[in-house]
Amino acid sequence: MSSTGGVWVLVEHRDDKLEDGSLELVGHGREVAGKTGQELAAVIFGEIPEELVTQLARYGASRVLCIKHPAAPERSVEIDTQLLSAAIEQHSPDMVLSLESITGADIARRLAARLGTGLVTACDRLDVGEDNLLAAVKPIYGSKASATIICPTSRPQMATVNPDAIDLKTPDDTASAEVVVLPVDIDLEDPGTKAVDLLRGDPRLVALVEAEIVVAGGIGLGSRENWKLVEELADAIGGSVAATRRAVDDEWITSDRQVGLTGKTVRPKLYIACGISGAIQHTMGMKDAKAIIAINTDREAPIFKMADVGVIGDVLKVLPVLTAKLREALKDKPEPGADAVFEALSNP
Amino acid sequence: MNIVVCVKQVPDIEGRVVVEKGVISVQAMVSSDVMNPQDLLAIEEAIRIKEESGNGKVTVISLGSSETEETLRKCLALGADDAVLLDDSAFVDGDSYATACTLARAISPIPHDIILCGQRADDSQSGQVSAYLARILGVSLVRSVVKVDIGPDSGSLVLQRKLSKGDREVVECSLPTVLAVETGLNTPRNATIKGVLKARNRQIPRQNCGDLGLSREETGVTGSRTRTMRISPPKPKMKGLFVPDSKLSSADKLRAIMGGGIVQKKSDYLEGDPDDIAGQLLRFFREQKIIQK
Repeated sequence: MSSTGGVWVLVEHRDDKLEDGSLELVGHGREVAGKTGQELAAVIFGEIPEELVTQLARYGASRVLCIKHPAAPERSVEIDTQLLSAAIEQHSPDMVLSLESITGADIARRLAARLGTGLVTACDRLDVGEDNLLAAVKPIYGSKASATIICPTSRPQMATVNPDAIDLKTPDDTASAEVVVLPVDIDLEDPGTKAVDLLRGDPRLVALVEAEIVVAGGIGLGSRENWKLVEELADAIGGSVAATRRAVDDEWITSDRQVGLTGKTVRPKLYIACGISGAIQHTMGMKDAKAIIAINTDREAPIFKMADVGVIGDVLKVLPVLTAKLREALKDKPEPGADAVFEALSNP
Repeated sequence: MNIVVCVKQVPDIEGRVVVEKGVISVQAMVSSDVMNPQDLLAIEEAIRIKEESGNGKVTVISLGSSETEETLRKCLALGADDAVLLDDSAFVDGDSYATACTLARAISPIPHDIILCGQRADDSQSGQVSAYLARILGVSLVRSVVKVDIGPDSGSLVLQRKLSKGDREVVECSLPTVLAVETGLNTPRNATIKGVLKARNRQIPRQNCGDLGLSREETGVTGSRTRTMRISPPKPKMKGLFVPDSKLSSADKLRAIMGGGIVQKKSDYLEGDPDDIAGQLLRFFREQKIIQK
C-alpha cells in the first residue's frame, strides 16, 4: 500500500471494547474504500488488544494505525486532534471518517478546522459519486429532508456518521490486519482548556429528554404502592422514570416526569410502557422512541400498535420478575451506564 | 467581559418541509423564519454573564439579509448592546467554513473575551461554525456547554459539558474562547416592552465584503470547502426486523425470514408465564445492545 491515499476510520476503544458503532463504520467505510479502489485503515490512539485488531480486520480494516507520541501525553480531544492532524499531514489519506459520538464529533470538527478542509457531519450514509468523490448523505431541516454533500478540492475528505445509522456487515473471518505504529513527534500546543471533574448523572433523575432508557408507568399500576415496581425496573436497567397524565394526577409521581401532549416529548433508545393503554395524548410524546416495549393486560390496547414487543400480561406480575432477572444478569457486569464512563474517560 | 454572540436566522422547521425538484422550502403556520433555538440560549447566557461580571458589552452578529434585522432587533430587545449584520450577495449559500471565515473577519476588531454560538443550526444540522471560528481566531473551543461560570480570577471560565446519559464534564478554560452551547443551558427571558421599544428604532450597521476586506471568492459558495449536490426528501424510516442474531449473513437472514422464523416488529407478542416473558425481554435487551452479554 502506498504511503498516501486510503480511507482512515478513527476508532475509539476502552477496556478491551470498541465504541458502539465502530465495526459498523469500518464495514461501511470498507465499501467506500472498495468503490474508490483504496484500502481502509483503522486509526487508534495508543495501543490496542489483539482481539480488537482481529475484529477490525474482519470488518474490513487492512491496517490498524496506532498513533503514538514519545511523551505519551494525557489524552484530550484537543491533544488527539493535534496528533491526528500531524499524522494526516504526514500520510495524506484521501478520506477520514469518524463516528458522530461525543468524542468523535468533537475531534472531527477540530480536525477539519485545523486542516482547513471540509467536513460533512452526522451522516446517515456514505456514497461514492463522480470522480471517486465521497458523497455524504445527511439529514437536514429537522431530519425532514436529506442532503448529499461533497468536498471537491480540499483534502482529506471528511465525514462523521451517526452511530446507529448503519448496519453491521458480514464479517470475513479469514481477514487479518497489519498493525503499524505511526510515531508522531510534534511539539504539543496548550489547548487552553482542561477537564477537571466528571459529574455522573443519576439515570433515574436525568432530565427525561436526555434519558436513553425510559420506564413509564400508567394507570394500570393501580396504586401508589405498586408504582415502586416502575421505579425498581428503572433502577435495574439504568433508566429514567416517566408517567402518563393519569399517574401524575393520582400523585404517584411529580409532573416533571409526565410524557405526552401536556408533558414532555422523549426519543429514548428504549421506552418501556407499563400499564399504559396508549391514549394519543400520551403516545404523541413517545412515538419516536427507537424501541418500544408495552406491557398491558388488554390485548386490544392501542399501545400495542406501536410496540416493537408487546407483552400481554399483568404488569404487577411481569415487572418484579423482569427486574429480578435484570439484576441477576447485570450482576458483576458493568453497569448499564458504563458507556457514558467510556465516553467521558476517553474525552478528559 | 466582552461577549460576541453569533446568531443565525433559520426556517421554522416545525412547519411542513417540502422538497421539490431539489429545492427545499418550509411551509410554516405563522412566521417562516425564526432565530435558531440554541442561539437564543447563547444570547441569554451572554446577557447573564455580562450582568454577573458587571462590565463589558454584548455584540450580536449574523450573516443574512434585510429579513435578518428582525432577529438582530430581537437580540437588542433582550438586552444585547450592539448588533452587526453581515449582508452581501457574495455571502449567500456558504458552508460552515466560508461562514466562519466571514464571521471571523467581522469579529476580530470587536473586543471579545467569549464568543458564543449555538451548537448547531436547525436547518443545516451541521454544528461546525464554532470549530472553524475558534481555529481561525486562534482561540480555544469548548463544545456542548450547558453551564458557564466565571472563574475565580475573572480571566477564565468554569464550564460544564454535556456528555451522554446526564453526565457532565467540568472544564476550566482560559480566555478568549469560543463556546458552542447546548439545549439545557438556561431558560431564555422574554423581552420587556421597554426593550422592544428601544430596539425598534436602532440603526443596525451593515458590513459587506469590502468592509471586511474579503474578496468575493473567499466567501459564500466559492469560499466553501463543501458543496451540496442534491437535496431529497428523507427516506421513510424502516421498521426493523426481529432477527435472532444480527451477525447472521444476509443469506441466512433471508432464509430465516422466508422460513417464517422471524416476525415483523409490530406483531411480536409475548404472553404467558412471567418468567418466560422476562427471559425473552432480556434477550431483546441484549439484541438491542441495551445490556451487555
